[in-house]
Amino acid sequence: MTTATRTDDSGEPPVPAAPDPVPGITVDSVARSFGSVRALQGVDLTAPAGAITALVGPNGSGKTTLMLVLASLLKPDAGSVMIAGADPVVHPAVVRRNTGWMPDTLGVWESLTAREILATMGRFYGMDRDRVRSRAAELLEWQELSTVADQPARVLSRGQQQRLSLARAILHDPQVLLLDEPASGLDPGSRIRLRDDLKQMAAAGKTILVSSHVLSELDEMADLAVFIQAGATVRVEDLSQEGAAGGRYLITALEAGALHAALEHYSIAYRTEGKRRDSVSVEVDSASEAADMLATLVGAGVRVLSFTPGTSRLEAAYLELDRRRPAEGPASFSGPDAGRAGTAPRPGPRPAGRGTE
Amino acid sequence: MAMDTKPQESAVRPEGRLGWGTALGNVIQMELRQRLRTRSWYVMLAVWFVVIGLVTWGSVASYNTLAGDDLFFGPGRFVFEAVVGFVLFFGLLVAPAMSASTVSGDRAGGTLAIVQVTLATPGQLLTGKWLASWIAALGFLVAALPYIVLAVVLGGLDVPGLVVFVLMVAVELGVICALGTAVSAIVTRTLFAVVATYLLVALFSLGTLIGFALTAPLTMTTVPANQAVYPDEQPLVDEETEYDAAQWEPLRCTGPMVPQEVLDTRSTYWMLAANPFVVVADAVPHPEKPPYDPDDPDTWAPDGIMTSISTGVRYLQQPPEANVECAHGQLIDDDDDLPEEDSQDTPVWPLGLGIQIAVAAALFAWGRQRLVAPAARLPRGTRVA
Repeated sequence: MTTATRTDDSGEPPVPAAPDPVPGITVDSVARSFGSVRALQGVDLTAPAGAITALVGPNGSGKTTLMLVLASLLKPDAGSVMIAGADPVVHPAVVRRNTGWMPDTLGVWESLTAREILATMGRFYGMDRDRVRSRAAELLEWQELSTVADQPARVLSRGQQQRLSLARAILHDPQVLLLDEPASGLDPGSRIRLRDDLKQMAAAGKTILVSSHVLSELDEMADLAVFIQAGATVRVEDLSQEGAAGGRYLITALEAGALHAALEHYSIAYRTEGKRRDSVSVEVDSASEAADMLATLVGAGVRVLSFTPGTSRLEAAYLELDRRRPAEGPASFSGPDAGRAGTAPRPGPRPAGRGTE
Repeated sequence: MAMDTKPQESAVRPEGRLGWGTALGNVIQMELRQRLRTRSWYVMLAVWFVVIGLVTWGSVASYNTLAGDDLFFGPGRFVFEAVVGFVLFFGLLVAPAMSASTVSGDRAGGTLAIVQVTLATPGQLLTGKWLASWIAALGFLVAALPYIVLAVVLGGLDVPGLVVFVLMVAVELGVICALGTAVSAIVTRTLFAVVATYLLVALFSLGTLIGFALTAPLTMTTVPANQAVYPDEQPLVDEETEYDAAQWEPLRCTGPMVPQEVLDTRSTYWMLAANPFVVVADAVPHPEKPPYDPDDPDTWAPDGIMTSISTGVRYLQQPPEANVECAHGQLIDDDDDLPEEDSQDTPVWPLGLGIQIAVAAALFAWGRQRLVAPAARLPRGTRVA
């Protein structure tokens, strides 16, 4: 399953451009507690229409709680939320009509078929029978679930259930998409598909907010990253500008000796990487400095095989945040995962009650 | 694939809510589809059919044995009331199983929140789930119909009695399903919701008895009464003269007033009225008892279970004076329009059903509140999704 064939088949995703563009998501110092646990304590976020906004943070940082507030399921204790121009507390029906929510739990009616689930949900959104039927068929086709569409949902694989969940979320053609860990449990091919689908929908003018642990994946599609930690926004990174990409770059050359010699000749600090020791990494301050360095090395006769950013910008930002966290984080925070966030971020099973395999 | 992806005008009402018809139909269809695809419903239905069959056979057989050869009339009423009692009893056991996991199960499966973010309102969702569980429970009543009809046919009983009985059991199943649905929305854990619903059913069917028995002594009151004077001589039982009960009754009251202790159950009989068995038994019309011996109009057949229950509870509505001879120095006169005659005819089932509906409605409102989103408060230890 490659992206190319799929895109060729389906042409454009069955999500049309919005008839009249509405503002995306605005979250202003939202707080929410569960008893003594302060899940959110001051989240600010702006997700513009036509862009993919990544919601990044360690386990227990409040990502899912924020998603639930945005999906009009939880009332914030303080602060304000506007989704597609409506406040979910005041006008939940308006928000619901304009919002598609894909929860991090796989909510599937096990004995219903994929087609029935879509048809039922469509009618809950007030779509008439014929429209629901054609829309369901179209989405099942789009998500390549047509062959299993009439089997009970319990026989679907996790990836298929995940794709069904996405189809359900966009069933009523919402303006705003809230996706909570949409890629968890997906195989690499499905992840690439999901990424491309979301990009296409964003290009069609949708507002998309995605939370994920897989930073490299978010890095490839997100235009904006909002970092939250201990229930508060700690950093907002604009990923759409390529200019300022500093950080560590990984260089691989055909002959390691020549590369080392060249770097030493230009007094560039490096450290060897990789098992075969033919790669090195260097620290640069900006993208232009990196380009200059590459030109210098090639000019010096080093046969460079690859010259790539060692870590994604999102990853770099996340790790930088993590390094600062013990000093900056609120001392009172004692969430279940507070201690775990210090290690390298990687996708993994969430703590309790998740249906991950 | 060529597709029309333009958003079209939808069936959403201007205010952004779904119409009740669409919402209820959708919830019921979804619920029933899932129930009909689970094997347990059919297994329970089969077990039910066999058990009610056994009860019918057993009550016919035992009546025939007891009555022996002196069978002047069919076992109709006796068997009918026994079968009726068991159908209601098993119905009370089945209805919680049909209803008490409906919302909590969705919550556990993560599907509740997905419906909550649609345009369906909490009231529509809960009502639809209640109706669906009621329909599923009514399947059991339908499965029992052959036996009920058989019992009616055996004794040539009245059709109105049959109709009223089936209707009242259906209503009782609806009340229990409403309790179960509401509890499943209130309580977080599925198992606890089922147990709590069974406890509510027990409260109505056993708790009402216990409550009435325990509070009865508290209703003790005193009624001033004096002595009754009976006829000096007992009248001879003469084959030729007609039996006259009046000859055995006291002639007059005499002597000083003495306080007599007596229970005044008028303030507590409502507890018994709320019992599902009482509601059904009392609503079923009781035709004139057929004479036990067709040749002798003064004999009568024994009451069935349901008739006895109804008569008993109606008797408790009487003022305490009815149980004391010569209360206030007056004879109880059948000719006078005394409360005794009235209360014997005052049905208790509207009161009982009213109490049940009030409890169910209160729980239902509470359950609906639990489904309102965005939620301000969450029960401890729960996730929305």
